[in-house]
Amino acid sequence: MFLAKLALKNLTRHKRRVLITASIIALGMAMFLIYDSIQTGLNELSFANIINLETGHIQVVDKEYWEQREKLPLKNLIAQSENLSSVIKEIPYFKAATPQLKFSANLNNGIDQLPVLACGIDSMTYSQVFTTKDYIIEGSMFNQGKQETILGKKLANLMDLKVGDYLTLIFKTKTNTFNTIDLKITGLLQTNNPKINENLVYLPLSLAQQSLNLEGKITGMTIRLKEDGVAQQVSEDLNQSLASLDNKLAAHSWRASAGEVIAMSKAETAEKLTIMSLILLMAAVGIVNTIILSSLERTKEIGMMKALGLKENEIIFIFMVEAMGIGLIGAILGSLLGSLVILYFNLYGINLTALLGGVGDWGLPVMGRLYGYWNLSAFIFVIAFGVIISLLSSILPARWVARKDPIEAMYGIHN
Amino acid sequence: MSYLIDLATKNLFRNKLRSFISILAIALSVALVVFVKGLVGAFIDNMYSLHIQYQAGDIKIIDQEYQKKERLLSLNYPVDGFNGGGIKAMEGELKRIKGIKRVIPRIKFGAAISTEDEMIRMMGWGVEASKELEFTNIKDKLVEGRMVRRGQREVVMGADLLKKIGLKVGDKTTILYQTSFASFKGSTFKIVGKIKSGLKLLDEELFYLPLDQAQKILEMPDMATDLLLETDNYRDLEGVLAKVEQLFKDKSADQRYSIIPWDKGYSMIGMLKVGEKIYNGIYIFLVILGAFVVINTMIMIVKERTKEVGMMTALGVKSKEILSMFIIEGIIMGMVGSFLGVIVGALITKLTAITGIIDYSKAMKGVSGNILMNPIIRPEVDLSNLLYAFILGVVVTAITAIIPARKAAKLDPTEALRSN
Amino acid sequence: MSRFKILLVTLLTSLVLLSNLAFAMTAEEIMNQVDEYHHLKSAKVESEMIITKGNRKLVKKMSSLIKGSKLGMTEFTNPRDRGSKFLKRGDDLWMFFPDAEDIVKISGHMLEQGMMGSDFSYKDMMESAKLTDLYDFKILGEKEYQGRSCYLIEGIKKEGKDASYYRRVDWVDKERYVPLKEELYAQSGRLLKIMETKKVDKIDGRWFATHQVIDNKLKRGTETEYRVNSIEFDADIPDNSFSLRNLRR
Repeated sequence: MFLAKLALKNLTRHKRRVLITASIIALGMAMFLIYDSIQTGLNELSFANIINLETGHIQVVDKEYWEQREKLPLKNLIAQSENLSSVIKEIPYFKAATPQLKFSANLNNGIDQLPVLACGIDSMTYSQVFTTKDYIIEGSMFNQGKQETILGKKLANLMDLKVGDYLTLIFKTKTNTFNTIDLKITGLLQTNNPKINENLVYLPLSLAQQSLNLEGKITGMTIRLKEDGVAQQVSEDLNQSLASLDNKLAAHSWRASAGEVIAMSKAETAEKLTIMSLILLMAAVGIVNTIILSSLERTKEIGMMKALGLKENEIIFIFMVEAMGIGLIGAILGSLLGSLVILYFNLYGINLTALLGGVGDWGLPVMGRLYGYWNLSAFIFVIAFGVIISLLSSILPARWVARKDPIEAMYGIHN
Repeated sequence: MSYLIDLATKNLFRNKLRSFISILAIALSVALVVFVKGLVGAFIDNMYSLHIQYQAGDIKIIDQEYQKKERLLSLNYPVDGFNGGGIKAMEGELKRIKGIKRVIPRIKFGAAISTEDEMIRMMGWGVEASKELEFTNIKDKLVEGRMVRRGQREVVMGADLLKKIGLKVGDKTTILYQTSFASFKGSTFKIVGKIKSGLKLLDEELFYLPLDQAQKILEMPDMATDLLLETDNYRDLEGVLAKVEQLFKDKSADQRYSIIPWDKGYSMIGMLKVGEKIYNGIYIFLVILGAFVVINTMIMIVKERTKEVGMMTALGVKSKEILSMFIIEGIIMGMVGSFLGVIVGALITKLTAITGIIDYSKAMKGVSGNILMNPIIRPEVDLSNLLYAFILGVVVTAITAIIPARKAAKLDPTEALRSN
Repeated sequence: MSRFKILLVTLLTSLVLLSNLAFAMTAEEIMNQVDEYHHLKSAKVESEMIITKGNRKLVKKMSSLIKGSKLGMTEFTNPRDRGSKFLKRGDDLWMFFPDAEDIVKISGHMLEQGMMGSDFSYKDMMESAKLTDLYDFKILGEKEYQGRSCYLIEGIKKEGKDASYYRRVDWVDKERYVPLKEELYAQSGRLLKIMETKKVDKIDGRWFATHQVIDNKLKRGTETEYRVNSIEFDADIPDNSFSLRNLRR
């Protein structure tokens, strides 16, 4: 189209102004992209921490147990069975599954006693589902079947225990009979999750089952999937398969347990929108500024165009296309700039723990290494909006410009 | 010099629209800075002050053994003064230190209430009501009734806790606890007040009772589990801290007690401090955005007035004066814009504060009671914030005006006169 | 020696053997007798509990009314706890405190707590079933303890029964049917507590342990002593002494 071509040619004629205006937009867009990337990174990190250390992707438990799970009852446990395992293995995206037996106990070091949460695990499959093993900072994971344990370093310190020491767990079995287990500490943990560091003691599953007189019973199975986003769907399908196997079982996706982190991320979406609007406002102002300035500068040119017979609408059109062009350039520049920064974050990440010195007591699992995230939708959003907002903010000024009297324009009152 | 200013002003009025747009852009970014600073300040200051009020005081004094086993809420390691002399005496000595405003004792202990189906566990805080009312913001959080009074068997509870036990203000309840001598006991209290603060700690986990009553029922005469100190300025503790440490050393109590300033030893505070620094960079950035518009404008101005500049140079106006004139134009735009921006920013900030639309309550639902954060963020309109934003706006605008201004000053007069 | 003599010897021997047979008791019978002596059909007891924790010593004095295994009312009489009462009725535990305006029912977690800081949990005190109902007993042999001849009896918890200790070994005084020493074990075989009887008195025709010491093997430096200062067996206690109303007074 002739008009469009004209508009684009105009852009090349005023390179400096175009560049400056585009830079404003670019900067704003880049800021938004970086902010969005880090925000997403933070969310993914907290989700990851929860999935990797606490809940896995899906948990299969007895329905009634789930209601009371905070109290760690010893009833409504499920039986480890081949059927259950095979049903679980068949779900889509299946990666690994591990059984657990959780119970409350007292940790005794011969002098003091402290209430803790004891968790019987099968160390091999556990490492396939959870990343807890990566957080062993002293010693190593225990051997399956041996009277060994790993626990949080903070907890060990509280009880004056170190690797190699023995501790006693004292608890009651289902018949309220006291039982004890002596365990040798083979490793100490320091995870991103304060709950684990201060409250949890891990021991071999078979040992736990035996000591509680609950052979073959577990609190539940935790499943890891190959992908994160599918947990909800898969757990719903799993529920159906489970119903035919044993209608007392239920599958819960990790989102059911991650309430507060999810709520936080919802709050953040609102924040993001606010910031975006502010940035867009700035961009709009920049565009308006440019158009008005350029029109003031190009009055003669406009007069000429009118004299040559171009209609008002066509002049408006030219200016609008110019504005869109600037917007597009700005958005692309901004995307490039943002990409560079995000790329850096993506590859190297920001070490939060080093930066912030290891926050102990958030209650929100927000530590570790923060990576930037590539959000294609953010980029598309930025480019689209850059163009659209430029377009919209150019309408009024363009009309104002185009209406100027050609004679006045050509002879320039103030030039 | 003054004629330059006149000239600059006149020039700005020559193209009102252009000047207006530039001023608008600056106003916008300055307003933004005012708002964001108010927001962040409110957020961080809020967390600081809640942390100080409920967890740390400006300085906290506790027994070292108690600190290690803090989660057990043991009554076996109380603060009982210097060499057992009691906390009243200790308070007297501490108050004599210049810089110590108030000494706030608290007894924290585990307790339970028996309802129909279960025993509900909670934490009791024995406090000196008048001091609490002055030191913390609890007064504003009392939605019903009043604070407890010394010498009375009364408690004040959070709204959520009251719901858990199914009672209301005016009811009586029997609270079970274990004394410092391991005697299991129960006492009946009257509920005289209800708190709704948005803090899980206050609303759900603890109840207040008068310190003297707590001391009585727990058999801890003249003792406390925590001693909080309020100083004149929490941002400048060094001097006072040193004096307190000296006092304890003189009394040979430094091996037994820990003296902890509010900003050391609490990792979350460290994190917030880093956040503060990051935000400072962001403000400058925001204003630069607005300044871009100014550059645009200035460049155009210069281009437009090359002939004029040439004329002025020919007439003998020194290039330094030309430079100054353009810079002054920039500064004037900056000042007017910043001024407007500050006003608009203050308005918006005030509005968000009053309406309380920034509300994180839902997000905070499951978060641990240890995190003290007011879920409704009310940005503050602070004079220093306004000043900061204003000055930032003017300075950045002035600096960005320099580049085009220098270009103008350097123009060769003959070329300038010939240009079009 | 004539055939007569041989007959006499055989007779005498068989008599002795028979008498031994007749008097040889099974473990169950022994523990039943222990239960019998220990069981208070109805009694008024003045007792005290001395709890030692490291270098702290706490003394709790109690005045109790007991009727069978289902009803018991105890009032604390030592200065620190004076006026506190608790009432056991079947499976329920109620408490009264002078500083409280109403009685409180104790349930759930609280029952597991040590009573007044001792090693007896409230649940332990509520245990009312007979030993022979909970454990399978077996005589391990005979041993001397504190100069007295004792049966060494081992009890293993019956499958499915609710009891705190999996295994117990009792040194039961042969003559008096009072356990002079008791070892209490966890299921893992870990020794949890040792109870030693320091004094046995004969009151109203039966032998009763009036001074016992319990040592918690898992917590160093803690010990609980229990002394019975006076006990009146078969006292006449009306049922309404165990009413909630009575608790309130």
